This record gives sequence, C-alpha cells and structure tokens, in this order.
Amino acid sequence: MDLRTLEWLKSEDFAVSVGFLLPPPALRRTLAATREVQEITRALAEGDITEEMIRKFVSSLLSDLHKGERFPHDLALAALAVALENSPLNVAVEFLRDLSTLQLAEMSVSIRVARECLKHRVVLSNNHQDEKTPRTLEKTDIS
Amino acid sequence: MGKILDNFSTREHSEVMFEEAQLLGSTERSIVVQTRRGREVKNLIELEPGEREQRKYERLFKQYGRYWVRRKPASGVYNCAGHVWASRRTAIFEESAWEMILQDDAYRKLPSGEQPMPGDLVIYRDSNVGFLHVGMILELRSGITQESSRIPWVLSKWDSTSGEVLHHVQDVPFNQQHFTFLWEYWSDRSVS
Repeated sequence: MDLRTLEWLKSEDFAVSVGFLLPPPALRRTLAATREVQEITRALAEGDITEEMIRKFVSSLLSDLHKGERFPHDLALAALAVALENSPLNVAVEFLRDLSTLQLAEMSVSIRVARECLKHRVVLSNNHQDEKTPRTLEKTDIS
Repeated sequence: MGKILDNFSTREHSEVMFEEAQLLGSTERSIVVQTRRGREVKNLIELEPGEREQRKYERLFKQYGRYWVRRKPASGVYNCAGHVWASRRTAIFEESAWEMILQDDAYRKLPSGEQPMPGDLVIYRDSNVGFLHVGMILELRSGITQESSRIPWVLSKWDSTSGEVLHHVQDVPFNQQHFTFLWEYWSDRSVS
C-alpha cells in the first residue's frame, strides 16, 4: 500500500464518481460505498496506512486552503473522515474531533460529514463499553 | 489571500492536525431564517464554486442531465433546501431543520392519488439515510395517454455548487448513487 489511494481522493474523477453533494448522512453513506474509502479503511486496519501518513496527507491538503475560496480537497477530507470513522488509531479521534469543530465556509462538506461520522462513532463506542481500545470519544458540542 | 501562513509550507507537516484551518477562525456566515412559528433554522451561506466545482458540475450534467433543462449555471450560496425554503439566500443542511420547517409551515404530505400542483414540493428520501433532496414543482406535463396522470416537472438545485435545472420528477441522479429512494409530494395548500 502506498499513498496513491489517498492521493486519488484528491482527483476530480473521484469527485465525479461520488456525484452531487447530498445531505451529510446520505453523503457519508455514498462515500462509504466507494472503492477508495473501502480500500483506505482496509489499509488502516491492516497497518498499511499509518498515523504519520495520515498526518502528512492532511498537511499536504491544507497547503491549498485559501480563505474565501472553496477548499479544493473538501471532499477528500470528507472521504477520509468516513474511512477513519471506526478506526481505533489515535489519529482518527483527533482527525474527526478537530475537523468537526471547525467553522469554515471553505470546508463545509468535510466538517459536516465529520460530525456525522462522530455521531456514529459515539454510538459504536456506547455499544462497546467493555472495549479497551481507545474508541471512546467525548461527545463534542458541534451544533 | 495567498497560502495560509507560508511558514507552514516549509514544514514537513503541522504538529496539530488542522492547525492551518484553525488559524482562520470562523468564516461561516448565516442569516436569520425562521419557520412560520418563529423557530430558528440553522443555515450556512455557501461560497461560490471555483473552477474545479464548475468542471465537476458540467461532467455530472453530461452524465445525468440528458433530459434536464438548464435554468441557471453552477452557483453557490444555497442548496436545494435553501432554494425552496430560504429564497436562494442560504443553505439548510440538517434533516431536523427540514422536518421543523415542514411541521411549522404547515406542509402536508399528499396522499397517493392527490395530484400535486405547481408550487408544491417533492422530497426524495432513502429509508436508511433520510432526506436526499427537495425540489419545487414548476409544471405538470401531459402523460403518454389522455388518461395518464400528469407528470410533475421539478426545479432543482442538486447541491450548493450546482446549477438549477428543470427535470422530470423521476429523472434524478440518486439511482446511480446506489440509493433506494422514494419521493413524496408536500404542499402548504389545505386539503382540497
């Protein structure tokens, strides 16, 4: 596994394959059904994608963030949020928490998808009270 | 504005995830939108689509819009719910807000057999994820035969970066997005 699957999330072909931007719950499901998100989810689970890779990827995306303009990689972040939704990695918690608390018009899609992912992650952790893995996440005020 | 703080681009990556984004503070803008009963409707004024979003819209139009009629090119500010409930001034995303508007503004779901009228709404939803889209019926066109019920044509803005199109009520992109959707007609007209 290399970074090509992560990089693919940035492509216009990926954005077109996802289609129109649906309300966050529906978009989350659409993204979860994509081959790319499924591959990244698997790679995360198998350790082929590491925390360091995620951090570098996010950092590289954010170099294209400009105030007052739509963030060109908004959908890539949304897709990554879905892939990280149930990951036990610390970076997953940090990613979802930090993204969901932003208030940026530039990144309106990924922020709302991350909030949706958090809702489902919280539900999952509540159903796994006995787990010792760091799934538990404080429910943040994201209203 | 150029790149966010050039010094970050020289670093391998930021220690804090989304630090560059956090440094922008809050850039979200909203307006006062209330239901008929005076309850606040959460909203967000969306930014205009850039070249990338416009190219994407044209590709999606080519893919899905063979029979669509363009009303307006790709634009920002509002989404489908903002189109029908906020006069194209802002976007309304949350399902709870859609439900609240339907309730407070006294919309009723038309029973099967009651023909919708221009000005009524069509709401598309999936049984698993809820609302997909809302559009406004603009006209009723003749069916195949004289006995056929008339077919609603709908004015839609698919998302907050798309244009507006007029389309047959069933000519929507959700099939290709793997949803098992149904559509409902809603009206603010009292029972006829």
